[in-house]
Amino acid sequence: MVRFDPRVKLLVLVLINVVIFVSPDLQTEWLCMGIIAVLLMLMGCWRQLWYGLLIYAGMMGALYLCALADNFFTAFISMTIICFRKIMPTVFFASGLMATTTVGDLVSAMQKLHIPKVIIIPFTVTLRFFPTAKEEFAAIRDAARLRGLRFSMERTLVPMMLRCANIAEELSAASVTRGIESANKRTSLRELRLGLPDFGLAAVFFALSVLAVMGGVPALYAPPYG
Amino acid sequence: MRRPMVKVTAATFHYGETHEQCLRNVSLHIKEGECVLLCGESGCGKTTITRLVNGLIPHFYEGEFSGRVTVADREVATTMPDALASMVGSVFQNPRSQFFNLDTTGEIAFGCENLGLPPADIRKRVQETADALAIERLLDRDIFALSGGEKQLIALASAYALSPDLFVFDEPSSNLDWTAVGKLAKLMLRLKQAGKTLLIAEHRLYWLSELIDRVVYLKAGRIEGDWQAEEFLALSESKRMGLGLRVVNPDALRPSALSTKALTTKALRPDALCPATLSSPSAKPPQETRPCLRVFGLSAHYRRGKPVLQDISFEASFGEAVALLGGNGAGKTTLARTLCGLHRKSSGEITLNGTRLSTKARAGPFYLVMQESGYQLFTDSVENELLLSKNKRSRPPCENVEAILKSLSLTDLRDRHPMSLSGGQRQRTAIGTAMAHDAQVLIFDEPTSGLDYGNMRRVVAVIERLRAEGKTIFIITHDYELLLAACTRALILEDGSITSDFPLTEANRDKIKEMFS
Repeated sequence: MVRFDPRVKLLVLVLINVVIFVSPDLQTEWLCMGIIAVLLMLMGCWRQLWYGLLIYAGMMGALYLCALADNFFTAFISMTIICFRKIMPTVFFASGLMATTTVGDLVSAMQKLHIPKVIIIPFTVTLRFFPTAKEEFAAIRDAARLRGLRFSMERTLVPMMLRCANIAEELSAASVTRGIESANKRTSLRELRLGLPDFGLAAVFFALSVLAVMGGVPALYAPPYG
Repeated sequence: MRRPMVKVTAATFHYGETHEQCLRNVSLHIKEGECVLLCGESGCGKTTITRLVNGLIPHFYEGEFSGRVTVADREVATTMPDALASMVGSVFQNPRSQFFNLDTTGEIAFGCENLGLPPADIRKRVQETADALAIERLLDRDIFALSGGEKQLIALASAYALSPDLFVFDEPSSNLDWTAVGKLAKLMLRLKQAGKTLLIAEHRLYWLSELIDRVVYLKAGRIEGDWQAEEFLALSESKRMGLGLRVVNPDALRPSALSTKALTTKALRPDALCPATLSSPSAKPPQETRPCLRVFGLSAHYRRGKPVLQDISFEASFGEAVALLGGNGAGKTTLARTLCGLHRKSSGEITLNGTRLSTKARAGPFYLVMQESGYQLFTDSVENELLLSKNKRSRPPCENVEAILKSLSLTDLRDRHPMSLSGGQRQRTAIGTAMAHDAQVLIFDEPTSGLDYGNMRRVVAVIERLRAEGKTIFIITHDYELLLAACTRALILEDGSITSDFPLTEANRDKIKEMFS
């Protein structure tokens, strides 16, 4: 298993988007997916790898079927699937990124990139809030079910907002007692250093981007869809 | 001669929005290495004192303040909060709302990172903290996967990593179970032995008796008692109850619910008990009136996991108050959720008055009063809350609502917004909604967490009234005092099975005590 620097992972995420949007041909997309698949293997994200490939293969299969029966309806479905397929490489890599990067890593990466504290702290708290919001939502849904009430925006969001406001206040108070208002430059438990694998990874994706800008992988075979 | 650590001189305070005085001319000196307990009824001002000491007043909460507060001879009001962070460590009531990272190690390092300590230094401090508090096993874990007790230990560790000499605790045990409280007490003893000064605001007192040196009693914002620990522990039970304080010595308590006259003959009349929602034409009238609730061979599990409940069978009759006891992960919560229809059973059956109830049909006749009853209130006033129902037909008649409001002493609060109520009042409103919809079985999840003596007695009184009306009550609790005051019977769960089931009588007291030690 190779551990990559979160900064490089963020860079790769950006480059994947560049590749896909600069060079929209299918061959380049396949090449990109292939490289990401190898990358996920290296990072040890087997679950994300299988799910990603399976979904991608499913999309390709569905497109093939749509191409067989050519009418307005299937054209519409194809369009929708293609829209989602276009973001698959990004999602594919992002799933591996999420699985191998802790919030602490991400925060120290942001600090290294000299992103100011006023952005980093809210960012951390936002990430931390997702699981909390999930717990709060589940509790409110249970409470509604106990009384046989159906889901309604007002009945869910109002208690949810009141609860979250409460938690936010307690959280802020706790953060003040942990010195969050300090004027000192924030440091991080984790020190990040770029290693050989990081440069290698960046090089591969830079090469891919250059290829994409030059016009992508030449077509060896033209499928009837894409 | 030990130097003074905290000096509060003639402090008077009220919060911004209100005009009610929260503290009136309070003076309090705490010596270095001393462990002081602040106690008193809800709203007596003990939390406010902790906020004066850790600087949340005036740096976070606004209000009118006069007087002077110093910590280690530095004035709190003029010291920057980040400097205070390494002088005073704070641990709060709610373990869920005082951490920022998703992993434990990052959380312990959080304060040090904020102050900009060098990374090597931070790593050293995290390690030292883990060693000093013996929490090595909690490092590098997902915080959301920890129990409330473990979260609280991490909160303490995070404060400890900044190496303050003074620790302030604001009701740290409120949301913890019996074992977690024991662990917290052990860590706090370590702090004390290391020469730290501790200031603790708390309702539950039994766990502090070996820790405290001194007890300060507050009433309506004034200090009305200041005892050395020995003097305080020697106070008589009646004096303690007079002060409105929770039990100090649990051994002195006796089971009392069995002896109350809550079970009246009226409650056992079958027609008074058959819930209207159940009497569909096809359902036969309940012939077997006792027992009212029958659970047979109940099993339940979560997706991808071994069963949480295995072959649970028991019966409960009208007017019983059954305590559900057991350690973390024993299945108490799952049992409660399954009974209420929030969780699907995988096998077994649940019958009420002889009618078998599906998962969906159980929500209604079964009702769960959650630990945080704030979740259960959906409307803009107490009265509307009781009137709220899924459709017009099931709307409770106004006379009933009136009677319920009266019986829960909510009449004066009927127009108040639920969120403006105190915790105890919100809880009573949630109980009211269950009564308005004629729930037969009420399950309470930790109804007395964070409640003072007076509010705890109020919960007991409500439970007694519900029993008298013929409801069946289940109580999940870690509160020994509540258990002995309100419950008639105990069901003990272990690993998803019932291991013991006995009435709460004087003779069975040792069995219970075993559970709680």
